[in-house]
Amino acid sequence: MTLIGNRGFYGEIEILVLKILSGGESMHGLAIINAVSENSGEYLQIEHAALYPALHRLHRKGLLTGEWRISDKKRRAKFYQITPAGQKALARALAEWTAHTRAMEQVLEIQPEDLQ
Amino acid sequence: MNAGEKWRMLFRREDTTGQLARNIDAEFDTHFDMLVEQLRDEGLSEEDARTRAEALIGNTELAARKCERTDRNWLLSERAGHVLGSIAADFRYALNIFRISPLFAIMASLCLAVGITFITVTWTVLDDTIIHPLPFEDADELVMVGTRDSRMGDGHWMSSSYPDFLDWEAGNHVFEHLAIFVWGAFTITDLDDPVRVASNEVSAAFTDVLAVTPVLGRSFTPDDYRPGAESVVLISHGIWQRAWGGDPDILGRRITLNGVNRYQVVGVMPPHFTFPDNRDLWIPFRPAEPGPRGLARHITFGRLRDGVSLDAARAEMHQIGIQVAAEHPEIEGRREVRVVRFGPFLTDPLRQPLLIIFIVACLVLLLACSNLANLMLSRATGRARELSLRAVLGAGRGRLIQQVMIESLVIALAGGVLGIVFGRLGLKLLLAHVPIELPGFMQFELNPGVLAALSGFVLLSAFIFGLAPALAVRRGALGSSLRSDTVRMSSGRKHVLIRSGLVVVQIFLVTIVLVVTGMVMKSYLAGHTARLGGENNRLLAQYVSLGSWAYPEQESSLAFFREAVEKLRNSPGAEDAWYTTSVLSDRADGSAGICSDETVRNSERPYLVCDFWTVSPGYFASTGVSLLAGRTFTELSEGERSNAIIVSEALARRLWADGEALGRSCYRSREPDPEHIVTVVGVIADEPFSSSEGAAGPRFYLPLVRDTSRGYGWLVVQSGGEPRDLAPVLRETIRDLDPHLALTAPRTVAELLRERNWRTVVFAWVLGVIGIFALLLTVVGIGGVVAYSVTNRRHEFGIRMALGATFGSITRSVMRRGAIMAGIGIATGLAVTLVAMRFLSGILENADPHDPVIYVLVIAFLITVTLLASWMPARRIARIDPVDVLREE
Repeated sequence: MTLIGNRGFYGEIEILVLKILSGGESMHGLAIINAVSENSGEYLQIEHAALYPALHRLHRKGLLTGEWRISDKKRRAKFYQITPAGQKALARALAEWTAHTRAMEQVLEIQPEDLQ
Repeated sequence: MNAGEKWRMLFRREDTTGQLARNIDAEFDTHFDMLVEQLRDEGLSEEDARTRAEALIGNTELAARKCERTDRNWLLSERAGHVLGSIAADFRYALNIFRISPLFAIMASLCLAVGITFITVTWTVLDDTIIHPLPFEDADELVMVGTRDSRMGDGHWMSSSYPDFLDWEAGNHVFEHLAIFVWGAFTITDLDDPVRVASNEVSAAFTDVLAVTPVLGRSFTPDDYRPGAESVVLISHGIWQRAWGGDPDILGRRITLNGVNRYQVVGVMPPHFTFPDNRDLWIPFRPAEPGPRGLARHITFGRLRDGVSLDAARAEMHQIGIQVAAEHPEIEGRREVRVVRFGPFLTDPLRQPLLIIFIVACLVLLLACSNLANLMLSRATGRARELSLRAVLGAGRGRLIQQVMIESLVIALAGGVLGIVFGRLGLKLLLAHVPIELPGFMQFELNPGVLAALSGFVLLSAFIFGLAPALAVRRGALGSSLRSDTVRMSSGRKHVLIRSGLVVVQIFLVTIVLVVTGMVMKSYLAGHTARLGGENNRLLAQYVSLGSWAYPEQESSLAFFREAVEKLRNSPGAEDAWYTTSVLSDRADGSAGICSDETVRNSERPYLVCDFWTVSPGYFASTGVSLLAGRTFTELSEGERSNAIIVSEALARRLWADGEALGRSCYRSREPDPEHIVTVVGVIADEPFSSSEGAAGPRFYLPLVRDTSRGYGWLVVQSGGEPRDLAPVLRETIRDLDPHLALTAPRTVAELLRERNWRTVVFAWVLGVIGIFALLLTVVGIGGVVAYSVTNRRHEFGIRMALGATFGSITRSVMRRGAIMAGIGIATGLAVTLVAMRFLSGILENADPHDPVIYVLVIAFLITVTLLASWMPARRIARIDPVDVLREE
């Protein structure tokens, strides 16, 4: 299990949060963490405390809205939902991410003999 | 987040962050509980679940701090955006005042505009002449070196002789380059319309000293100075345009100067380069031999070496001077070598007038500012209700101050822009009123430095004038204005006091401005109306320079002038015509030595040097010279010789102790030379003219005959009516005699006087305009304040009238205030002016700086203006019906 936290690439948590919320469902923090974990085959586990600054930033940028509601388990929790601006930001971030990882792969796949 | 939440976040920051902290803590608590629950559901014990949850959650404090930081940044940017938005709104609102109260806005802007206009004009001129006189690289390193012969009096230019220059050049270690020039003039004769231009013969280092290069072609090279080298010439950009239409093929062309030499044009100098005054041609200075050391006709100028101070240069040149004097004891006089900075030297005669105008302009700016302050104050009081209402409705003080400040900024900007635009027009107008051709270096362009400083001033004034109403907002004076009228009255009274103080300052300033203006005007009028004979305003004069190349003999030039005078005298419309070497009777064209058998016995002063005129007989008949004894010159036939001379009373007394001159003989030379013996045929009064430059000195007149004939002079015609009508006749007559002469425009005597007194003329003109505006500003200021105070005391007057006060007593009471303000202002103004006059007396040629007439006039005038300005509102208030006022309660 790899913990992506404060040491991770900037923006990874934000991208994951936006992606998880992009279905339109409103979710609280723990649900988002669980969703990331499940969808990555439990490979990615967001550090719980680190999630909140990211949520806050997204909220302030107007990419998410937040609302206190009663959960299924009768608990009062803050539920987050993606905004249209958030959808657009996600699309942009995904394009950048893809380009970034492709470039990384290209570099990392160089064979040792090609470097001489 | 909805709008309400946003609003609360913006204006209740502490609450927001506190609330935020609670929010985050709550979120973490929920998260923790849910996580524990989830772990328990996965089968962990309560204790294990908690431990595991704590590990998974990590550092919540750090996370909370990060959230806070995000919020803070967000808040800041939101606020900035909000403030910017409100500023934009205030600007729109402020622009509205031009619609809502146009009179106030226009008056306020115009007040500032008037002040800024004069500052723009005077500062630009000051900057171009006194502060940065010469437009050359490192112009403060340029100096003039010269000797001053103690016997010659204080001429303006310091001169040097060529042998001196050679010694200085060889001996000094302080100059990077040293150059010399000689004044000259040429007629460019191969043009359709020949022109006469001023020129300089310059030495090789000329362009090095000034660090200029031609825009076209090259400067002079050492080859140009070799004996027998081809004649070359550098021309000014101006003459290149005027005479050759800017022809690019001018380089290498040979032009004809003075009809004989063919000079090759090797370069065109940059635009506006007319060094040192209004020169159009420069040719190499190539004397065949050094010439006499005692003949100081040349000007030496140089550039100081880097790091050499003016004092160091003075010290070394002084030493060299002493050395040269010791080696050449035959040179008479104390010939001290002096070094002065060139730029300040050139503009020195303008320094004081310009400084005075600038100071007066500053006073007017202050006047304008105090008016503006007055207007702003009255508006602030008038708006107190509006602002109070807005404050009550929830507008914060900061917001109101911001709005008041922006309003002030809008007015200041309008005034500033108007002022600079008017200033540029004013500069054009000013230049159009300068009757002479200014040296090329005086361009009077509004420069960026001046513009930047003016903009700074406008912003500063916006701040200062916005301050008063803004402070009123701050002090909470607002609440009171919604309350009773009594409170308003007392605060109004305080305002009246401040505003009356401002008016006193205005009267103080305008007193100074008017006295100075009055003095200058009087000096100007005295110079301008200098009486040059009863007929002077019917004269038209044409300067003619024949040129030695076309008229090599004295006979030929004499013949030309005689014939011209004869023809002009008989031309239609002309009453009389004559020749003279100088049209103005208080300034001769030259001076010469004269002695008598009596003076030569005085070993100290064997001769005297005085002004003289060479004239044809008509001169005396029409110029109002009053003859004391003897006769004037008679008509002579061609070739006849004459040894007649007419002397002035003062000269007669100097030549003969008893002053009896008529019929006596003297010598028109510095020693009794029988060749130059002349007989006095007439004596004229010393001061037939009210001279604009002090009493007339000793002088003499010679008849126009072969011996005295010169190749130049003025042809003057007297018209029966308008002298200008004779211009075509004058020109045609001269053209008929010689079509190749270069003629300048003919002048009337008034024009000649204006040209000669141009400094005073322009000075008086500018000050006159400034004075009028200063007065206007003051009238507006006084009127405004009295009207305001009267309106404020409406209630009081109503009661007083109900109690039996009469129309007269009310009017008197109002006018008393005006009189008190005027009294204090005028008294302090006069006190300061009397001190300042010491500074002014040096430049006023004909005025006594303590002339009581001016002071009395200014005092009477100002008192009248003040009383009139307060009488009008007083009359208005005294007419009110007390019942109306009391009913208003």
